[in-house]
Amino acid sequence: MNVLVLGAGFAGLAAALAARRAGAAVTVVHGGAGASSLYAGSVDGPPLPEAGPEATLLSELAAALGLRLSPKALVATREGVLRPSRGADSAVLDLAPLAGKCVGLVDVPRDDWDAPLLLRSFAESSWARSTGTRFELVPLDLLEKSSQRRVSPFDFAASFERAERPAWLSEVLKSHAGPDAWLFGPWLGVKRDLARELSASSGVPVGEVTSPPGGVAGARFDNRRDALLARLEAEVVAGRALEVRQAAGSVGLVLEGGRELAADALVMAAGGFVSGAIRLGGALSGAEPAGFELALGGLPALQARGDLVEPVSSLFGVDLAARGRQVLEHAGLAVSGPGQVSGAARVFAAGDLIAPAPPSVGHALRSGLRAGAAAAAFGS
Amino acid sequence: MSLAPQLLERDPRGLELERDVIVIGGGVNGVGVLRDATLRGFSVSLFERNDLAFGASGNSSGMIHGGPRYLSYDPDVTYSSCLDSGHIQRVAPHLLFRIPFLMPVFEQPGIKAQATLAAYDGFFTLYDKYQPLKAGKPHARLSAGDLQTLEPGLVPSQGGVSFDEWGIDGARLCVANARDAMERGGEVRVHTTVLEVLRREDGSAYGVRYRDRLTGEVGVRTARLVVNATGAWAPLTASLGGLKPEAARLRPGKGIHVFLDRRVTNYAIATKAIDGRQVFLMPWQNLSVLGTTDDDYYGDLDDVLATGDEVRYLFQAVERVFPSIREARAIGTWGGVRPTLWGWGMNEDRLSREHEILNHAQDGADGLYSMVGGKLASYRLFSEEMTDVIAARLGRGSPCQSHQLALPGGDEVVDPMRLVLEGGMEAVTATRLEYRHGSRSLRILERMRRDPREAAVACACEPVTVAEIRYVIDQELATSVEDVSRRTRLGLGACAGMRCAARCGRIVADATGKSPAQGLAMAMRFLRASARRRSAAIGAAQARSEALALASLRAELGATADEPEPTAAAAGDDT
Repeated sequence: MNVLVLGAGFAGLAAALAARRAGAAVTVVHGGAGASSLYAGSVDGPPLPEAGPEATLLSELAAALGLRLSPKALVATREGVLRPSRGADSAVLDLAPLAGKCVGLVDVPRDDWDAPLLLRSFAESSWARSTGTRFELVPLDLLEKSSQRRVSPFDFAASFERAERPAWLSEVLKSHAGPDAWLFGPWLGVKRDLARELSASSGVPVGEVTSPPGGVAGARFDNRRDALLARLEAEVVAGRALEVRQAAGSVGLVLEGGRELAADALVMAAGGFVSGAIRLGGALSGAEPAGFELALGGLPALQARGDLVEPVSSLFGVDLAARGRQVLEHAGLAVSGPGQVSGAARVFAAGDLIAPAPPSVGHALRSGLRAGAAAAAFGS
Repeated sequence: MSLAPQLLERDPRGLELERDVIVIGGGVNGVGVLRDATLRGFSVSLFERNDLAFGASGNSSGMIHGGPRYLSYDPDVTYSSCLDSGHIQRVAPHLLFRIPFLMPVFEQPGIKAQATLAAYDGFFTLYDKYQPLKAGKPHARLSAGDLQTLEPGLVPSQGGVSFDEWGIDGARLCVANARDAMERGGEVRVHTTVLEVLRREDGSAYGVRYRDRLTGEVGVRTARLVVNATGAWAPLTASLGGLKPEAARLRPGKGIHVFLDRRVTNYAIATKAIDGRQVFLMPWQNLSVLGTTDDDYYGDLDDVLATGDEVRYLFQAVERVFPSIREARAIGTWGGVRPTLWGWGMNEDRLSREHEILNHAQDGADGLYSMVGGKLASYRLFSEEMTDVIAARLGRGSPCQSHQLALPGGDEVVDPMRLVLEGGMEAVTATRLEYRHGSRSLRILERMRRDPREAAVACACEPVTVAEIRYVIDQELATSVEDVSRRTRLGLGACAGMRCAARCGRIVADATGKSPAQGLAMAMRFLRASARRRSAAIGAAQARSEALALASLRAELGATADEPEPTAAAAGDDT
């Protein structure tokens, strides 16, 4: 029994894992970076299962993707906000267990890091004041040369992975006794899990704030994705799909270049607007009547919060001033039950493609696991 | 003509008046009068309900143009605009940039292209006579091949003409005028609304009652003369003095612009919209701008928004001569309301662009004047005329110098390379900084020397450094993210403030003694306002970026700009 998965973000990987563990052979088609590669490093969205078979699959998935799940986590953002989350990239510091303690905020004179004002934001937050948590600014001389003030966060994060640097950084932290935890910018490695290494060597939790879009958290996701796909013995096909072909006993994808793939069931996890699976066509141009559209053919119409999204009755497309730009977050495929696409028997969908507003990593993981399991069950 | 009545020197309580002049309105005409009158030795206070350049002055086409459009029916406007364009170039050379225009000509039913071309050629020959006033180049008649070479994206035409105009950042012009007056003793109160124009029993005006919209403070300022320079708000302001709004009657005309994420052409392109109106696609600072519309406006002047219809009208017009505009990424709009002189029974475009000074003695309010009409390009001249009236009424004052004395930053040319070498700035950062501040960029450089952290680039799109943000807060009356944005263009690039608004909010809060939570709320207000302005223009090319912005704001701020409530654990909980 074969399951095709279109997309290798959080939802696609969850579907691939669930289908594989249900005994299916899995083929994953993906066209590169999407919303998951741009994520902040935090798992947000609906509550995640904590017991049962879905929870077991979720644990395996989280471990493979370097996520630490915790229903009551608290993460710090690069914009000075402390906010609840349901887990995060393991390099992101969970502040919840640090209530009442002293957190050392690393001060480095980088252009994208205004530590003194971030300190004020964290220290004056209602959480810090109500729990008596202190934040302390600790200037650390982490720049090897002044040009590192402005290098990309990736290059700066990668600079700490070079041979002698992790051990050196560990010594630096040990020489600054005092804080009960260390809060860094999003720089603790792109490939290595430096946060875990430094936590172990310094004896106190060491972690980051969440990443800006396109930051290191997404890069770590990309690195771990390939390892997970290898573990699932999935056939990986690089490319973009143009069309879904439904036949009596199978379902298939037509790829750019003409290649066709067929399977017993298909999971669509190609993302929403950010990933380009949904598009806003033809707006501001008299070229074609247009509206929201799926980037590939062969599937039923899109819906938004239950309303069918028909091409609008204007040659000039959708007017978001009238509709509200948040319609961009909840346009997607209509599904029933565990992600079955309405009107397409062997097609299931997961992730941002069926997200209730707002889309989230938590929703992607959960809907991916369900759609993958349902697709495998349909095929058998 | 009778002599002006003697001005009373005391208010009804018998107290001596505090100022010579009160100016209401911080647009270009208000700050122009403030500066001119201050230079002539008068004591002046200015009250602005919102921010400097909040209305039409900061939302115009950003051109100090000579108004060739008015040449055929209002040549006086063309002459005065060109003359004053020359003056403005001399006092603020850093703020002006050349915008060469191309005007392609096409076959039309019943009109030979060559005839149109000859007519344009003749018309611009006439306009060439005014060009020396503003250091403009004479027009050129261009062949179809010339046009294709200059702008390959243009559809093939039958030839055309070029003509020369100057661009300006209207907000910077207003700030420079206000700043100069402040340094010479003038008082400027922004975010302070006038509640009432005070009048004596004999009807004469002697001051204003005001409310500071940020602190809630209510107060009275008295003066010998009161000038209503509130642009499209002028009838409302007149009514604050107990006059009928018709005493300062206007025909307000809304004009909107759409801006793209980059400069898509090297030359501005003038063309006609479906209704025959002249519209353009123009490179302006880092952007390309489509403009403009002109429609009667009946809405809220504090909240002027472009609509989808207006955006599509402009795209449709430009698409006809420059088809690839269809693929362009529109990242925002701006809208303003012209204070056009009143007229009934004619199309908006035909209304006079002239300006007038109304003496409300004719309405029983001696000492109160309204400035109505006018153009950005002739603000200085209009201000000079107003100040001449002030000087005549007060019977003193030195001659006008506003066309001779440099505005702040305009006194000396600074080579941006110096900022690169001495401040370690990237070249583009230095160039943009020097454009906005002229020689005052050296003061910002000095801040970076004192605290190297201030050299950090906070807004990467424009770019804007931390030092410049702190400078406009300290020196240019900025009190919010929106104010900083108006002065620096922070947050107006392709990322729409996604990467800089919160940081700017932290800096403003820190510099003005507010809490981090108030800084975050300020950033949210800015993001919400800019998302509203952008919504009408979001097309296929911007949709993905828009979805990413929504996701990013939720991840980093705990809410998007459309959901006002950040999560409970967010910074602080001040109310």
